[in-house]
Amino acid sequence: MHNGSTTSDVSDAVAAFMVAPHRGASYDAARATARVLLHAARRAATRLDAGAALIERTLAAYGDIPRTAQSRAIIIAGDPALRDEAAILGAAIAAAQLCRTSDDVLIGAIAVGRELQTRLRNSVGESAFRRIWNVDAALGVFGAVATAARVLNLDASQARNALGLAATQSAGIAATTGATAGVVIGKAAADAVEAAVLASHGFTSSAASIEGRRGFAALMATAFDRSAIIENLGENWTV
Amino acid sequence: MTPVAETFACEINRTAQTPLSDTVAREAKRSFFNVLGLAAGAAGHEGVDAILATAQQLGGSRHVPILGRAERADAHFAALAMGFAAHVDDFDDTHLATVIHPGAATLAVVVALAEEATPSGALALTAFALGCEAQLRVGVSISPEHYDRGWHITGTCGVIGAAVAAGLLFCFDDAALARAIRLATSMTLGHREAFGTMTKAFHPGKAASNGIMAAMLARGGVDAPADVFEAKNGFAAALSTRFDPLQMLGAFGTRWELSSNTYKPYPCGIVAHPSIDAALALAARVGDPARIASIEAHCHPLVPELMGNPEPTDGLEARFSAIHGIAVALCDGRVGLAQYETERVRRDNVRAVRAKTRLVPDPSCARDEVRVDLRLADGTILHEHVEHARGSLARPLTDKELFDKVELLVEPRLGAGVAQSLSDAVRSLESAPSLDVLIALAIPQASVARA
Repeated sequence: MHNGSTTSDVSDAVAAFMVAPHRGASYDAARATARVLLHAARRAATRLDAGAALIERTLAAYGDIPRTAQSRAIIIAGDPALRDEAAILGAAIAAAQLCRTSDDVLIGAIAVGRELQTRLRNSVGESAFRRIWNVDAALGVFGAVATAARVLNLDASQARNALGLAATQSAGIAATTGATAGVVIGKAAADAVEAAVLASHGFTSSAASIEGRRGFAALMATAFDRSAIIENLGENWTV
Repeated sequence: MTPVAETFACEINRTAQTPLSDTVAREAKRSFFNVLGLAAGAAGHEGVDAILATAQQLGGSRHVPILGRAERADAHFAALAMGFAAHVDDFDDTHLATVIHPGAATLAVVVALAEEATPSGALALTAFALGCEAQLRVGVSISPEHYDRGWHITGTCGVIGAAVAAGLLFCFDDAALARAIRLATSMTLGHREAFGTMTKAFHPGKAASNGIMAAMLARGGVDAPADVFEAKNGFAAALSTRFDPLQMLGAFGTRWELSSNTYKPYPCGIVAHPSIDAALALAARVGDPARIASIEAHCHPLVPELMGNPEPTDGLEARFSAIHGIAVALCDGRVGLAQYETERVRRDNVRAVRAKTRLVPDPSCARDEVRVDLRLADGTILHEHVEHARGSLARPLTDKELFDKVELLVEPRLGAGVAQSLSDAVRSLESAPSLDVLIALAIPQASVARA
């Protein structure tokens, strides 16, 4: 009666991008950056800071993988240079632990996550979006789910479902700042890994989660430029 | 002025300290029993399978039971599974003013934390009632703009109710409860774009898990700013164009939004319900549906507009066909989930009755009213007039009708007689030392679980 759209060129393009093989000089450059970030994230994540220790303690009953995603992302978010990548990197470290992924695959997955998150940020107009939302969590969940989906080797249909699960969980109000904002970013990383695993088991979600009439952009952004997402996606890497 | 979240937490805790009035306790138990039946009855859904497979890969310790399932999971995934199952058939409770389904997420929290928090029956019922009440009050304060814009209010407000239920189960003081509520405002979920997929029911499920996480973090001292609701970059501004904090905070303990919770008698779109009431009343007088020559249902014009499909081809389409509802009521004499199985929808006897059924829009008919004229092959004409449908605010489900609904839901999964035991356990909840007996009743025996 009031169901969502059944088709979407934006979500289809994003899902295809999440799972397709990539090559070319532009992609290689994106991978080079991703490699540096992964190493920086690993270095940062060896330091168990107070916020992460609190998560380890208070969420002790949770599973290792989601708790890893969450606590690693919180530590990484504590480094201002890595904060906007924290959800992706936390999800990457946790998903790689789950799937015993090679660094080669993981670096490509991080590049894909960063590309999607950057394009989304450009599509919604970052400064307006940042006034309302915790941008590193609310957009981070998208980057993180793209990374996790790739690590889990989802097919395009599963990737689209994972994307839908991530979109509907995009959250974190701007009023919540500081250390707690980091906790919210950490949660986005864990939610993204969970979304990808759920999708791998056949869980279904919206076809038009990004640009549908009652989807992410309509509800959470004051402006939306779809071309910023789909134009030359997978050919010109912006990251 | 005291920040909204702080006042909200204090009022909730103060209300929790006094016993629920008989009226409120009764409605809380009806809501609890209804959603318990749904969570257990739908536990075999493939979406629950996917959630439990995910829990196998990602979950922590497997100690929390799941209504209607033999498996266990950690509290996070158990809550997700139960909140999902409770809503997946769209057959749970509805607070009509906000369209919130408050029971699903709240019940999921109460059951998922029962092991760790070991609440008495009375505390569990209070946590359930106020978990529902909290989300309904937040919902009322931002309605109808919030839902109209496209948010699935059952998820966005559900997480606040879930955090409240969890905090009450953990016996939080005002400060800790306020922290849990404030943290929950950054854990919202629910875009209506996901309607028509499993993600719709994921919303109350994950709202439950998120509420538990908010409470766990609050217990560890994590906090969010005092003005998270009313700040210009806070919850209300992000999620709605309207916010009336008085509707959240006013007359706690005397005004209960939970009192106007309603329960669907049939698992289909609500505008078809009067027609099904009439058809069920006629079924006894008709006997063999082959005797029917024609049926005319004079109904509100929205019925043919929203649910006029004369020939649904599967269970999902049938949920939006008043004609199927009438026909299957006459064939089976009951309308539960079984009557919306695809196989049932396609069978010849119900197709034949659907072909003889017509909806006649009548602007003089109220939304919850119908007049049915049924002509038999021998020329006899039977009339049935339903003034107010079962389950409407003017004609709430009786306890007996609610029992019949839950019985149809749970017995295929839990075995004969279990509905009565569950009903007895819910009725005496205030005097129960724990939830152990009630939860054990809703876990299937191995032989039944395979079915």
